[in-house]
Amino acid sequence: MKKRGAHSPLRGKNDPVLMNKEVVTQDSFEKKEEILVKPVTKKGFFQALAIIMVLFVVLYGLNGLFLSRAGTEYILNGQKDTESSYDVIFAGSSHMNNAVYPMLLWEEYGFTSFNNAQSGEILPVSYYTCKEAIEKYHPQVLVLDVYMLYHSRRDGNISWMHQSMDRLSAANRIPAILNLVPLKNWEEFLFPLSFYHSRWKEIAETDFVGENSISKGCAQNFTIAEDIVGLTFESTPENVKIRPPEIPVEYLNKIVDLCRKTDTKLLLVALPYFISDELEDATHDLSKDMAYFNWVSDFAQEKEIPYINYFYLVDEIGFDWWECLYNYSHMNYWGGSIITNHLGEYLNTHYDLPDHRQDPNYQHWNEDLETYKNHLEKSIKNAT
Amino acid sequence: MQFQSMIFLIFFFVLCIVYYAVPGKLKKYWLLLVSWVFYLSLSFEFPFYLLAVTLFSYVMGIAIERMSHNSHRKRNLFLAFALVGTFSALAVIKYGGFFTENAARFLEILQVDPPFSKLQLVQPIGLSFFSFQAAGYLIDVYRGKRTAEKNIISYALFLSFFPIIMSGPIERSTNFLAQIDESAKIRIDTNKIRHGLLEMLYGYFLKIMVADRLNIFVNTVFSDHQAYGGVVLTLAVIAFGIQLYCDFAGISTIALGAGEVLGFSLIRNFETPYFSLSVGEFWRRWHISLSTWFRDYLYIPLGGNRKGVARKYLNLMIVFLVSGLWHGAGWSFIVWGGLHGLYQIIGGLLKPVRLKIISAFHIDPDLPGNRFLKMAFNFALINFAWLFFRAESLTQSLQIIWQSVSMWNPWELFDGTLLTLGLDWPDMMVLLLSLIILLIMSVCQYKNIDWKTNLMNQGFVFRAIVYVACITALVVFGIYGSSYSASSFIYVDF
Repeated sequence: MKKRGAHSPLRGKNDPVLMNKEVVTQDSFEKKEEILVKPVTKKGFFQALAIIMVLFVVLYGLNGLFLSRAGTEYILNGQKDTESSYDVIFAGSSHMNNAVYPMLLWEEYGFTSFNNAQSGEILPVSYYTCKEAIEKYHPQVLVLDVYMLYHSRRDGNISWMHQSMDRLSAANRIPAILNLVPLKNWEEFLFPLSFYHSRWKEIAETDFVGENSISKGCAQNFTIAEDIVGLTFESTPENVKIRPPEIPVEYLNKIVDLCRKTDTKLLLVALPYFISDELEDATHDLSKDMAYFNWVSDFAQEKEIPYINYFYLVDEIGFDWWECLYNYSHMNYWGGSIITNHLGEYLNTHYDLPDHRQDPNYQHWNEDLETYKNHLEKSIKNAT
Repeated sequence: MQFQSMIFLIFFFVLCIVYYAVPGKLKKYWLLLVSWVFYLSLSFEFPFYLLAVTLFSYVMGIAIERMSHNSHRKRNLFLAFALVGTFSALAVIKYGGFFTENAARFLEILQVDPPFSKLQLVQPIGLSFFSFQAAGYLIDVYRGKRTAEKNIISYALFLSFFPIIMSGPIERSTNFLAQIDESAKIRIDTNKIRHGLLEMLYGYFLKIMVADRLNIFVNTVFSDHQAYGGVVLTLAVIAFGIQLYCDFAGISTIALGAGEVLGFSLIRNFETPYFSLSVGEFWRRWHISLSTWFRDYLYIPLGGNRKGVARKYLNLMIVFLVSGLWHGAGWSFIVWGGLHGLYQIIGGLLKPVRLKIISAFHIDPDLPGNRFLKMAFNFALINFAWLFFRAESLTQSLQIIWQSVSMWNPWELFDGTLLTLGLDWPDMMVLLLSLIILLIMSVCQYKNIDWKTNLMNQGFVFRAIVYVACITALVVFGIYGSSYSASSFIYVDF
């Protein structure tokens, strides 16, 4: 057995016992170096390469396994099973995520859809999630919520960015990271294992086998926002328009160009929410947001894109502010059902969407509908 | 860019490839460039201090060498000027706040309004390390132990070499600068590279598996020490002793390994210090580069043990008080240093008594059991001193001591309290396993068993499995990255 430091002529010098002894001379260092140097051999090189490759495969596998499952029920890339294509994909922020229910659309009209919107998903991130969704699932129509037009930065809440971006394919994830993520967070986005490795204690069966969203991506809440009851919604006139900050407009334009290039029909929507000075947790200015949404009318007209601003349709569709929200910003099930019905009818009328309900290849959607309805019934029962 | 980041590993991989690809003469230029990139990534706001200390000590080294050896007084004065200049940034930035605060308090006691306020300056990364390294070099040149370095690139690399800039070891010009001068001759040596990589792997184990996991437990207890009894507080102090060792030895080992991969042999900074049988031996095994620096450049010039027993003890006390101050500008660090000085003085004074007892009772001090007891007693003394090192203030240290004595709650070991201190059951299991591995590796180190060469001599498949398993375990179970607020390297602030 070789003694410690046998490979290094200077090692003995660092031994505390020898500390006081004379320092090894440079000459002796060189002579011993010449004897001990072992150059790279072909065998050694390939062995090192093999170890690096095995390590890479193991870490790559763990990387996928350790990704957080929080919020994955809301994104297409988080599903265990997906269709090879969807007729419609809904995109944007949590406002959209809570407002449109794909299984109700299936039941009523028979076209397939997925609600791929995410909490806090800013438009720059939506550009990449929409790009991925279009490339992988070739939807006929992309419905985009414009709520996040107020957000003037390329980056947003880091956790939400993780939720939206971590499961994108490398071809979209890496450009998204380079363009949107602050430099100090690059490491955790480029090597998600460095961020998620602490999940080793909570790894469960679902991390290995995955799971499917019963509701096809949407969130549904069954409570009523008590703090809104009694308050009056103060609307901003349609002619008050403010151009939103540059960055969200830049990415809105990119999404428009992306849809043109891929022959995907784009539909923009502004979904209703309620902010009042009387609400303590209101975070931004509704009148300014509405002015941005009014600007979108001009933008859509110029780009020849359809646009539905639901703020001015609430009376027409029977959207009751006191009953249709579960908090000041998000719709509950009853509000979402109203929007889903109206939007479904609009999509069915204005686009040539197929009805797959009798198609044998889509029978699992009918089975999923049964499961969904049972689940829905229980949730409503529990809520009331 | 910290050692325990993916970015550093990529940085290190790329720099190594280029380093071995460029011609020998360019190697030190490349290393200097990457060292500065590394330093700027840590301390972008304060490159000035490193630059200033580098240029000043470089010029002073040449000037000292050129001065006539006949004019001793002049040379001494010049060395003193060079040392004051080299230490000036450290003195003002690190100790300015401490001295102005205490001076103001003193004036307040005298009922005089202090004409100044407390100095508060941000300390650049590695200031204590590169200042001491530069000062050691100047003294070596003064003593004629080596010639002044004429090549500014070599000298700048000596002070800014990226593995050691952050937390040492404090290298000697007679060792490291000599190797830099010969760096053109460095060739790829796969043995050294593999040794170095394994050394780094063990360093990462110490840092992210043990130190940063213990840090969670220690922080929880110390941040709310009033809530716990003596048993938990004692455990926390012991845990801190192990944490500090694994933290500092971990970084030093990573630095040692990184240096070895690049063909350099750096000073080994730790030699299983907790296996020491006396406090004196502990200091020959703990932070070796600093303790030998103090020995060679302070203790011996003060007279060492050559001027009588009283003077020897005085010198010892001075060295340990200064060592305390080096570790931190605060009274608790001075008390910590003073305690170590006191331990050694008491040990020295009681030595005749100890020998008499051994002789009278026919005790064999070399029996394994007796050695173990001595080691345990020494460990207890060292850990008691760590309490002052870790506590936020001298007052907190005294509170913890009082509480440990007055509220000894042994049931806290069994009633689940331990699992409420930041580490849950799975983490505790990983910690326990890590501590067992640490003990085995420490015994190997203590007994000079070369585990690296032994491993390298195994068959390829076995080695591959061990390497992949160890790295995977570190990646998964280590405490690092933004999901945990991994503690910064404790020694970075010193």
